[in-house]
Amino acid sequence: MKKSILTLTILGIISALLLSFVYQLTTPLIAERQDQDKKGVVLAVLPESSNYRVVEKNGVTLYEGNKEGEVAMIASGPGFGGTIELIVGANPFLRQIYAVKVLSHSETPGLGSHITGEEFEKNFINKPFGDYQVVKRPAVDPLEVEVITGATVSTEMVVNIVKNAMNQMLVAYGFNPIDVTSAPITTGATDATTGATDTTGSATVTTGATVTTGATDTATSATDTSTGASSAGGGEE
Amino acid sequence: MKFLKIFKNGLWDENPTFRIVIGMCPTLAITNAAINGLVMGLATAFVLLTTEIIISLVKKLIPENVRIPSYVLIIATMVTTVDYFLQAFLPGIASALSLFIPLIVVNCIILGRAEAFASRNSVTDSIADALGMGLGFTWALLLLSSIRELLGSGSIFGYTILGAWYPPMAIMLLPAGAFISLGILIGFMNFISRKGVK
Amino acid sequence: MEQFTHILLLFVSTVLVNNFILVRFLGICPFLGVSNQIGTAFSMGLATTFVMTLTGMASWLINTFILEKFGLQFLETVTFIIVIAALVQFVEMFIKKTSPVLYKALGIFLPLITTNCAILGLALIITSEAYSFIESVVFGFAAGVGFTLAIVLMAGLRENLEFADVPGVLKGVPITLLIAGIMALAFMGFSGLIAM
Repeated sequence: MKKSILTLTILGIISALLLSFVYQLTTPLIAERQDQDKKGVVLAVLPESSNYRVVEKNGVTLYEGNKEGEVAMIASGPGFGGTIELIVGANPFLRQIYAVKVLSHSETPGLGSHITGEEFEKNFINKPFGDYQVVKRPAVDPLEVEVITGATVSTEMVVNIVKNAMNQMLVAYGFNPIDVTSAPITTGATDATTGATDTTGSATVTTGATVTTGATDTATSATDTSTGASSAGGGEE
Repeated sequence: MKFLKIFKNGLWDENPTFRIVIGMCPTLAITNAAINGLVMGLATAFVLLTTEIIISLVKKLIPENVRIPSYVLIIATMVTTVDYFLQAFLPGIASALSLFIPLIVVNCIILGRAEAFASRNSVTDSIADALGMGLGFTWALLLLSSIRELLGSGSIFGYTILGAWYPPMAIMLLPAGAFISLGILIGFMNFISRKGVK
Repeated sequence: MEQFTHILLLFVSTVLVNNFILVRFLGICPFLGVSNQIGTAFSMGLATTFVMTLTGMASWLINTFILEKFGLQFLETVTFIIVIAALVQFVEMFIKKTSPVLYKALGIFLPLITTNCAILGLALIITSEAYSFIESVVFGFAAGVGFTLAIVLMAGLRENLEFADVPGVLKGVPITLLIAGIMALAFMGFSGLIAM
C-alpha cells in the first residue's frame, strides 16, 4: 500500500513538473501566435492601414488603424447554431463599411457555414452604412444582401450583428445611430437620428451622445427580440 | 521479423477503427476535413508511441494495484503536452480539433494498448505495436475524412478535386454523414476481409 | 424568473439540440457497445447520468477553487481524469454499501464510465464555457438525460432489428452506425430551436 501511494505521488510530481515546463515553453508562443492572428484579422478589414491601436470608447473595444478614420470592431451575436463572432472594418466618419469577416461560428456545415465564404463576404465590401435587408433573389441595391440558400436565419443573424456593430461604432464616435428595421421607431430616437444625420465630421456635443446612447439601447434590445422571434420559428434552415 | 509482424497487426488485422472498432468519438467527430483526420491520427499515434515506450520501460517499478491510475496519469501528461504544442504550432487545426485533443486521454486505444501490450512486452515490441496501431488509426481517419471532404466539399486537403459541376453533399459534413459513411466503410472492410478468408 | 427560463433553455438545448451522442459525438463507445437491450441501455444511461451530474458539480468546484485560483490550468486534463476515476470508484463503493439492488443493476457499468469520453468532455466543456455552479450541475444532468435518451432509443431500434434480414457484412457495428446516422438526421431538426 505504501509503495502504491509513493509511486502515484512520484508520478504526479513528475507529471506536474513536466507540464509546467511545457506550459512555460509554449505559452509565449501561443500568445504571440494569437497576437499575430488578431493583427492579421484586423488589418485584413482595414484597406489602407498598416498598423493599429486599441482604444476603448463607450464601453466598446475598437481597433483604430493608422490611416485616419479606419476603425475595426469585433462584434458577436446569436446565430442559428450558436454564437457568431465577426469583425467589421469601417469608417464611421465617411459612413462606409470596408469589409466584414466572420471569425467564429457554429452554423450548420455546408449551409449556414457559407457565411465565411468569399461569395457572402462580397456583400459587405466597400458598402455604405445603412439598413441592410436580406432578399431572396440576387442583390440589386447596395443595401441588399442575397440570402444563403438553406440558411435564411444565419444570413439574417449576420446582417443583424453587422447593423448593430455599425450603430455601436457610430455612437462611439459621437454620431447618432442609423434607424434599422428591426428596431421599433420611438419618437425620441427618430428625432435624434434625423437631427444628427446632417452632422458630418467632428464629434457632436455630449448631450447628443447621451440621447444616442439611449437610442442604441432601444435598438439593441429590439434586435434581441427579433432574434428571439426569428430563431423561434427557425426550423427552416 | 517479429517487429514487422507486430507492426502489420495494427495496420490491418487488428486495425483499431475497422476491426476492433474502438476510439470512435474522434473518428466520427473530427473527420469532416482530411487535414483534421491526419493531424488527429498523428497526434494519437504520438501519444500512443510515447506512452507505450514509457510504460514498457517502467512497468516493473509500478505496483500491480495502482497500474491503471499510473498509466492514466502518464497518458494524460503526454496528451496535455501534445495539446500545448499543437496550439503553439498548428493553431488553426488545434482549434478545429479543440475538445478532441484532450479527449485522447480517454481514447480506449491508448489505455487498451498500454494495458494489453506495453505492460507485458519489451520496449522494441512496444514501439512496433504503437507504430502499427497509431498508423493504423491514422490511415483509417485519413481515409474516412478524405471521403467525407471529397463528397461534402468537393475537395481533399482543401484542393478542389471535383469541379463546379459537382453539387457538394452538405450532409457528409454533418453528424449524420459521419455515422453513415463510417457504417458503410466498416461494412466494406468486412466485405473485403471476408473475401480474403474464403 | 429569467434565471429559471435560462436554466430550462440550457436543459432543453443540451438534451435535444446539442445531444452529447448524436451531435457532439461524445460517448460513442457505450452507445455502440451497450445498446443491445432497452433494459441494460437504460441502466447504463442511469449510471452515466448520475456520474455526469456529480462530475458537473465536481469539475466546477475544482476548476474554480483549485485550478483557476492557483493558475494551474495546464493540469486541467490530468486533474479531471483523476477526479473522474476517483468519483466513479467512490460512487461504486457507496452504492455497494447502501443499495445492493441498485449495485446489481449498475455495478458492471460503473468501471466502464471512467473511460467514457462524454464524462471528461463534460468537464472540459464546463471549463471552456465558463458555466456557473447551477449551470454546471444542470448541464451535467441534462447531458446525462440526453445520453440516456439516445442510447435507449437506439436499443429500442436494435431490439426490433433482431427480426430484420440485415446483409451479413453490415451486421453489428455497421448497421448500428447507419441507424445512428438516421437518428442524427432526425435530431438535426432540433437545431435552431434555441439560440443560446
